[in-house]
Formats: sequence, C-alpha cells, structure tokens
Amino acid sequence: MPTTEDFAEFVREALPGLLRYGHLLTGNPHDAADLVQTALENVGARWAAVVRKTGDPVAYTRRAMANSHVSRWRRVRRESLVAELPDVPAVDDRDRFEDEPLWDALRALPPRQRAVIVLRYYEELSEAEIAGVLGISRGTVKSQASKAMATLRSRLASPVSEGER
Amino acid sequence: VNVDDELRRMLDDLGDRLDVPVRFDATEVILAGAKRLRRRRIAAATASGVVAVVLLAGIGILLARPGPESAPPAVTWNAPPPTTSSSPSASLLPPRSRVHPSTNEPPEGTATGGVLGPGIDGGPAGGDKPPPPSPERPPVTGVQLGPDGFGSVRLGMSYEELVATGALSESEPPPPSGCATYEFTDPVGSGQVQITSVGGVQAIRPATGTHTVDGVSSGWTLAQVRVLYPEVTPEFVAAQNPVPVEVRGNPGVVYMITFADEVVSEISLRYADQFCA
Repeated sequence: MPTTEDFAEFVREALPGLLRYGHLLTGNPHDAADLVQTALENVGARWAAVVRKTGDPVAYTRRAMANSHVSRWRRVRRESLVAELPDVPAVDDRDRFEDEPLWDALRALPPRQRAVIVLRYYEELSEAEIAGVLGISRGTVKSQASKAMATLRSRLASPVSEGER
Repeated sequence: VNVDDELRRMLDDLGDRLDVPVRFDATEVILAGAKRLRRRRIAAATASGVVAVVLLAGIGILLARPGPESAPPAVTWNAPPPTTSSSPSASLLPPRSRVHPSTNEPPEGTATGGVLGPGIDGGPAGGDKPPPPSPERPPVTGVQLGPDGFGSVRLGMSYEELVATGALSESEPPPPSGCATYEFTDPVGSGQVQITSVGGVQAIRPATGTHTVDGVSSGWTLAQVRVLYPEVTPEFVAAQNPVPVEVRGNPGVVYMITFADEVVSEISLRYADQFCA
C-alpha cells in the first residue's frame, strides 16, 4: 500500500525534472511551478489510486501537466506562486536564454501548439500518443504541429526586434 | 532554417538552464496541499451523500403528503453567495516581482483570489464596487446541472460506471493515462464529459440548456448573475472567462460560467482542482 512517505520521496525525486518539463511547456518558471504544484497536489490526493492504476506516476503527472496546460477551462492562477525568501535568488530566465531565439519563438506559441511541440520533440511521443495525452484527434495534432512549425520557421527567419516586443 | 534540427538541438542543449529554483520546503508545501485537497474531496463526497439522503427524504415526504403545499421549493433568488474555507497553497518559488511577463498571464490586478476565483474563496476580486440594483428575475430554464452531476452522469464516476448508465457508448475506448473527452447522451440531455483513468469524470459540459442549483441559466445578464454572486464583476469576467463559481452545497466543485458580451452563454460543472481541459 503506497504511503505518504512514498509520495514525499516521489516528490523529492521527480520535482526537478517535472519543473524543467513545466518550464518548457509554459515558457517561464513561475507558471511551471504553478503547473507542477497543482499536478502533484492532485496526484498526492489520490496517490494510492495513481500508483495502482497507472504504474508510472511520473508519466501520469507529466501527461496531466500537458493536458492541464492546454486546458481551456484552466485560466485561473494561484494567488501567489512565490514566497518571500531572501536567501533564494529571484527567478529571471531572460538572460539564461538570451542566445536562443528559438526559445522566444517557442514561448510565443499558443499553449496547445507549444504542448504539441514539446511532447513531440522533448518527450518524443508519436502523433497518436500526443493525441491521447491532450485528448484531441490525430488530425488536430498534425494541424497544430504544422501551424507551430510554420510559425517557428517564420519567426526564426525574421526575428522580432526588442523594440517590437 | 531547419527548425526540426534546431528544436532537437535546443532541447538537448537546454539542460540546467531549464532548472527552476524552489524553496527548500517545496516537498512539504506539496504534501500539505495534497492533504488539504484530499480532505476537501472527502468533504465533497460526504456533502453529496447528504444531498442524496435529503432528496430521498424529500421524495418520501412528497409521496406521503401530496398537495400544493408539498411542491418543491422554488429556486432561491436571493440565496447567499457561496463561501468556502479553502485557501490557496503556499508557493514554491522565490519572489515574483522580477519575473518577465508570461504569455498566459492574466492582466495585472486580477485573479487575486487564488485558483478558484470569486465565489470560491470569498475574496474581493474585481474591486469594491457594490453590485448594481437588483434587476428583474429572469425565468429559470433548462435542466439542473449540479450539485454533483447532470442526469445520470455524476462527477467522479468511472468510465465503466458511465458506460453502465447508458450515457456513454461501450464502443468508445476507455480513457488513456491523462484526460479524454467523450460525448454523452442522457435522457435529460447530451454534452461532453472529461474523464481520467484515475479520478473518473472530472467535468461535465452539457450541450443542452441547463441551470445551476441557484437557477442561473444561459441568457442571464452579468447584472442578474451578480445578484447571486456579487464578486463576479465585469472586471473579473474581462480578466477570467469562464468564471469559476462554487456550487452551493458541494464544496470542491465549481460551475464554470462563460459570458459572451456580459450574457451567460454556457455553464459547465467540474471539480475545482481537476486536471482536465
């Protein structure tokens, strides 16, 4: 029987990877933390069932995050994802990605298109698997990927200047 | 530019740059949130059970004492706005003030009431403006949605249970690991449900006319809705549409009320903290 301590251990081990994944999905660390926190709290509230029925809580959590991220019914943010912790440096990923115009282009995609791209290129899922994760048809996956790639190509060919942002 | 190659290179190369620094007690914050959520779910399940018992008792009374005086009570127009004891989780991250704008971020000064919005945490989202004078009460239309379902479709029902009701065709494949959307047809109406393999039905979105337990239905104006839910201000709707409103008598479940030009255009029902779209 999975215990609370098992869940705590799961969180400690999976948190860094889930946050990186969330960062990719959302384009910024704060939304990533929001997404991960919500997903893990949901998983924790049903921990025994998640372990028993999925057998892979990390995969389940990642898929729940992808689905949640593109959710059209999920438009509300938590009041505060941040804490007054002077000993922790403020998060600002702008300088960390200064040399990646593709990162900016990826971040600017609509949520569902970005999720399709991340699932395809980061998770390396097939079209059918992406369709299953996001609850959309394979045709929609294909069209969303096609639109996303066209946008990325266009933005990389003519990057937006700082003044236009 | 070969975007395929560039994407693969970038994603391979990002490595530590995607790391998100979190507070040292992030695990404890999540554990506390999960515990709170579990308690809310248990409370919601208990409340649903109580509602069922009360309804059964009510039916018994109706059968025993037929007559005009035994008619079910009308929808309470001036029902008190919903409240809740839930509170948002603590945060995982360091200060937010220096973060660049997010592409998904709502306008400044909005969504200050946490994940559940107005009517959920009782917060003052949308400012201190008093609601306008009570407009005329519109008619209650459609089939009631909530407090825990629509017709035979109930929140939390597993895929198998839903198939057993006949609302969902057996030819539909069961949900994968994640969320799946299905079309359902029930004697009272049709629509869509979203199901996870772990939590069962997470959301119900009727395609046919519905009304909330308080009588709110499609066609109501924002001013009319505000008589029941004063926190649902025009400013809040502008920032967050659909608006989550707690279901009276079923904590942990919300209506998602969609407005089009300040008129209710759609109402759905879902767990407040579910994964699905």
